[in-house]
Amino acid sequence: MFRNGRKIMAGPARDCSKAALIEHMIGAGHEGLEESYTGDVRLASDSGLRPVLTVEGLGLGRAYRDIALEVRSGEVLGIYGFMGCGQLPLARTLFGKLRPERGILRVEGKPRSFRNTAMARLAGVAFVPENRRSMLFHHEPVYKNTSISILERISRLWLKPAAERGIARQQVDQLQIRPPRVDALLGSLSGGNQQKVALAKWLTFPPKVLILSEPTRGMDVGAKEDVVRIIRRLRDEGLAVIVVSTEPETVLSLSDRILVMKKGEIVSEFTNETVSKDRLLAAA
Amino acid sequence: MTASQINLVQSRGRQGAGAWIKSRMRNIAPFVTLLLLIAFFSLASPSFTTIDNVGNILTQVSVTAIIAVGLTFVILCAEIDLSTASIANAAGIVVAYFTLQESYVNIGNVPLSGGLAIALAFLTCSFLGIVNAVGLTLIGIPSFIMTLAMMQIASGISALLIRGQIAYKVPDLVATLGAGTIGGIPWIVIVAAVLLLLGHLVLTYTRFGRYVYMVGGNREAAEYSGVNVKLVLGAVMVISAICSGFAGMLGVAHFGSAQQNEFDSYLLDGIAAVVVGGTSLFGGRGGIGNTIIGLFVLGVLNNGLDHINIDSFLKILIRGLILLVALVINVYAQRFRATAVE
Repeated sequence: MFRNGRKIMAGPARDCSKAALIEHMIGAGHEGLEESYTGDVRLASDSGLRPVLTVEGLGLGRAYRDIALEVRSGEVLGIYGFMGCGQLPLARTLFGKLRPERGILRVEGKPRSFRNTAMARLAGVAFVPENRRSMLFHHEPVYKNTSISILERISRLWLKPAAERGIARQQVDQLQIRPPRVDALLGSLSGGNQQKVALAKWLTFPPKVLILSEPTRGMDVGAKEDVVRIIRRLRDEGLAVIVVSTEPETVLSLSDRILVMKKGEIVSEFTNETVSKDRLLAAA
Repeated sequence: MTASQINLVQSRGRQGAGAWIKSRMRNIAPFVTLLLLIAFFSLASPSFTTIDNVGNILTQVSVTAIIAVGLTFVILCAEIDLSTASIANAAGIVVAYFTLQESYVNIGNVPLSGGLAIALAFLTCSFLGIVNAVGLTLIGIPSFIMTLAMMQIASGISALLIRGQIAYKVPDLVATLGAGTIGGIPWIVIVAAVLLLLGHLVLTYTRFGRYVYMVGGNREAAEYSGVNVKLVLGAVMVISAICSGFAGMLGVAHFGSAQQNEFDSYLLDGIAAVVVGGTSLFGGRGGIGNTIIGLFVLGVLNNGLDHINIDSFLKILIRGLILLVALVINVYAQRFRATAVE
């Protein structure tokens, strides 16, 4: 068993319990973590909050149709569905990667039509795709990864590497990215730390809406908890967050409100009630 | 030092020099090639290492250098431009077309002022670059095919304007920059050096340059980061066309005439200079520094082969082989990098 590039434990597999493995992986004190994802979760969403992103009648071919949703400032909206039920293309549409055929998208009440991702970014929409490879530059240092989305705020024409490093250092400290060097090549970081860098890209000049696709997939338990904590903090700071996932645990661990998609349509909504993995699966 | 730090240092030491060379092969290999070529030709021919000949080499690579500046941007984005030489030819012919020629040259004979002729030539190559950009980004034609079509289109424009004749007159400014000297140094060498420097500054120190590297390094990631990828790709195609056009105008003055198919060999030379220098064909790695080394490798090779006793028909084959070796190194350098980081 390895952690942070060092061997920390060796032993025959039959002597290892799941709890012991987790304890070795992330240190003691996280034994309750698994429970919170599998038990009942109490959703609480304040409908009086200000809507940030609103969508009406959105449709794109066979991917999804008649989508109406809104996400409010200071809440996490979870969108759950099986693979291929349209939630992933929907998330890409909100970020301007795909163009919808029908429907209206509003950011803070203003109708928007994103021709590309740059327009979505400038309108205050941020996106972290499910595949880290498709949003990070593995051969570039951490600081260039964190600055790429906010480069024009740092510099109009000439680059300011010192400012970029400063911003990256701040994020590395705040998100506890390991190793804590802004010049480390991104490819040398662990998966969980890469995911934190992916989040860090959007945090210096926070967007209005943050869309996360599978934010904790394939991460070790400790990093998962870190990411959950970061997302909760962002929500408390007033960001509107959308979490899209095919794993019920991910949606349950993060959301204040949950939409379930099935075959390209929203089939049910859970607000201010107690839900469990079983109820989500039954709805999907 | 904690135990983990010591571990780290030791593991780095074990990977050692081999890993260091592997990860920097892209920069080391072209440089070593250049040194070997210089050493070889110095021993083989006494006339090679003279001040005059160094000047010759610089002058000989200047036109290629101007084309290669724009091409470096394109290849850094993992695209290709096959229309550089044709656009150079077209721009050179346009500038001659709008200049008053001798009475026996029966083309346009539109006697515009020099400035206006130059402006029209720049307009022509910019427009052709924009057509490349639109084809690549808005329509979605792969750059390889799009610029192949543009190669033919630009040749067609040249053919229609020049009609098989040879024009000799170009505006004074173009004639000075292309064929004149200042204090013994050819203007065209100075122009090439300035453009290389400018290209380096833009690529290394500006926001646009960063976008070029990031789009080349991982296009999908650039898009998910909210970078306007199509705008960057379009811009590099236009930059390449403008550099080619400029090279074409100066080239016409440098060679002393404007005619059809005058720049044909520069298509391969331009691409070879960028790739031999070590800029990655897969995008995101390399730069003007690499291009300069590549230019010198080609320049020394072409010039050196003239100084030694060798079958002149063999020279073509040797150039091809050198390019092949460079391509092999280019691909391996990419693979070593990939294994070094994963």
